[in-house]
Amino acid sequence: MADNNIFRLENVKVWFPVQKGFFKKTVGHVKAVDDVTINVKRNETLGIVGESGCGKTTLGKAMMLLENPTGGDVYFNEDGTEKDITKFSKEERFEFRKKVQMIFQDPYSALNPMKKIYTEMEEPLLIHGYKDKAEREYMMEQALKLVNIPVDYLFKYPHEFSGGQRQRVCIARAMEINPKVLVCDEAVSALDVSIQAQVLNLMKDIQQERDLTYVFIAHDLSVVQYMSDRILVMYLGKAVEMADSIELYANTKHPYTVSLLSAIPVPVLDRDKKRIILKGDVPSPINKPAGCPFHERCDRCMERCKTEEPQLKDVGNGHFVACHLYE
Amino acid sequence: MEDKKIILDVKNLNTSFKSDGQVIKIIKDVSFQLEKGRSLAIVGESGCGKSVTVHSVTRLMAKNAIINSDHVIYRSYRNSEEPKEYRIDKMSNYGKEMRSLRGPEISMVFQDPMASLNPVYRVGDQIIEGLLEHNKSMSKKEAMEKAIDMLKKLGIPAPEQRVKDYPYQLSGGMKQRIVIAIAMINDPELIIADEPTTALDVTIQAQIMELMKKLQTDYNKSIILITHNMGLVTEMADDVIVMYMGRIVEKGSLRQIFSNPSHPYTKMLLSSVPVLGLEQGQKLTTIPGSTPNPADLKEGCEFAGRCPFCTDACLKGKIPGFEIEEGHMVRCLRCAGHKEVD
Repeated sequence: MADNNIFRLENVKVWFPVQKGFFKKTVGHVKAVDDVTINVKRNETLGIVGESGCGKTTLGKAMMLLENPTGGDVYFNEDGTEKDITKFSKEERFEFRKKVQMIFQDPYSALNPMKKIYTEMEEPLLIHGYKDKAEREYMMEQALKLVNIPVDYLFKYPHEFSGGQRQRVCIARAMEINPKVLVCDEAVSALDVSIQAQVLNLMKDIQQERDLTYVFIAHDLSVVQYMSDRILVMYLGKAVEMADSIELYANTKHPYTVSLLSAIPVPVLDRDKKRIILKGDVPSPINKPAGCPFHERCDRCMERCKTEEPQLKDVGNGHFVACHLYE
Repeated sequence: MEDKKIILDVKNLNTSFKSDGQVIKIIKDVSFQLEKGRSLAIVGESGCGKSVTVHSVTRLMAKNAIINSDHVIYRSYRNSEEPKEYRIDKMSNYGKEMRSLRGPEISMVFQDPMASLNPVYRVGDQIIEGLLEHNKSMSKKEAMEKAIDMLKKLGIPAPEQRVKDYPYQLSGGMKQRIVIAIAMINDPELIIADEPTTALDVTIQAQIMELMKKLQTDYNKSIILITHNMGLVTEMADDVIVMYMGRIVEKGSLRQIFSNPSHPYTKMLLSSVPVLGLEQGQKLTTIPGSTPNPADLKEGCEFAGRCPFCTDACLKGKIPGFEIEEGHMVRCLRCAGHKEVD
């Protein structure tokens, strides 16, 4: 059902050139996102997880056109017709940005300390051409109500807010022009657990109220599972596994996901501990190992994995995995 | 307390900071004991005073800090059954005595490995610095050999080459191992780890935690682990202290705290952590409001403003701690009726 997809990414690549010497000769590429094909369904939450440097943020930025893909296509489907956003003109991009908004990781640096919340929140409205001041104020108030922040807080400075409140202001700022998609890049990782729970619940409520689609990027798997309908696991710029969140946890396929899940400390007593401790570090994305990107750290590595790269394949039940074990 | 070897004994520790002409109490009447060979976790949200507590013990404080206590005693059980006692509370912050304790007896692993290594020195030189400082007769070559041995123990491949590297050449997990090597090189009895894995990925965190657990069991070291990650606590700790706004609100063994959390704050904190395998549609419990400003705290229970069970009695005076089970202390009036211990 192509109609059901709000985003469809086909073979998206984001490579950053590595330049050396006086003439800035390109000697290699950092393959931050390498050949990723995924879809985001309407009104769902797609969680993207992986360790730092696996390309999850870059993928999120590619979906927002904050990073131009080196190759591949990103299709955005708002009203039944699919458009390739990488080929958008300047005006089309401008319109597109109204519909897709982003929440950033650190609420402390996402708000300008010199500006009142009013100025901060008014800016996107001014940019998107809301000329009537009363209308702008109404929209700001509505957005603040959505995140349970009193309207008179508009005239405060960011330092007067706590971390959780700041993140709520950031959500309000992203929500005020009624976007269809919110890309949340580590939106709660800078917050304390009790505040994190508040923000997560709030985000779930807003999603139901406004029929939003979330792309939820985080490294904390328990948070992602709590938020997401489907989860994409990335490793070294590749999509290694994608499945419904319950399916992913109940029926984990890829050895990387298995070890990632086992590495999470769970606050439950007497859990039967079958830990797989991964050896070594993530390889450099400049000199990726041949074959499967994970084979050097994999405990079920076969001869074939060293030479042949596995592709993301459907193993049934909407579960996709890129591993030779399941072919 | 005949058989118990108490390595660290803290009684009524109070720490305040002078700021803008007023004195703000950050740590209030904190008492705890740590047995040799056990690990103690101090948990709480940011700003609850968990780091300040251990920094008060190791006396790594800024000049505007005022530390008061009944006693802070460190006992070294090295070499003999008869412990050697050190009254840390009587020592000056940067005196000779305190300096001789830091490193060979008590050492710390800090949060951010990127910030705790000096970028312009080779990691080998940074590891042996502490060793040479405390062993004046040791030659640099001997020290370097010890450093290489230590790195081998910590599972770093090719340590002979790694000691010549600069911090930027190493990955985050490697750097944290180096920081642990620096802390371990003088063979201390007590290791204080202040959020040692917060800056690391989960797979690397698992590696580091495995390593620390091994150090504790193989060499019978004592560990104080400061963290806000409840999952880590269950995997690492024997005893748990829960702090809120500078006060210990609940204290007990790991099992007591997790199977029978009794302070409303502990309960809510535990249920606000998303756990793997949560049912779809299930909601997290949240703690309403946010942590108050320590400068304008009133008397009574610190948690009263956010507590659903708050009564008038909670807003007055000092809330005592009640022992609801042996070794399980809860500072909440709802447990009144049990023996008062604190």
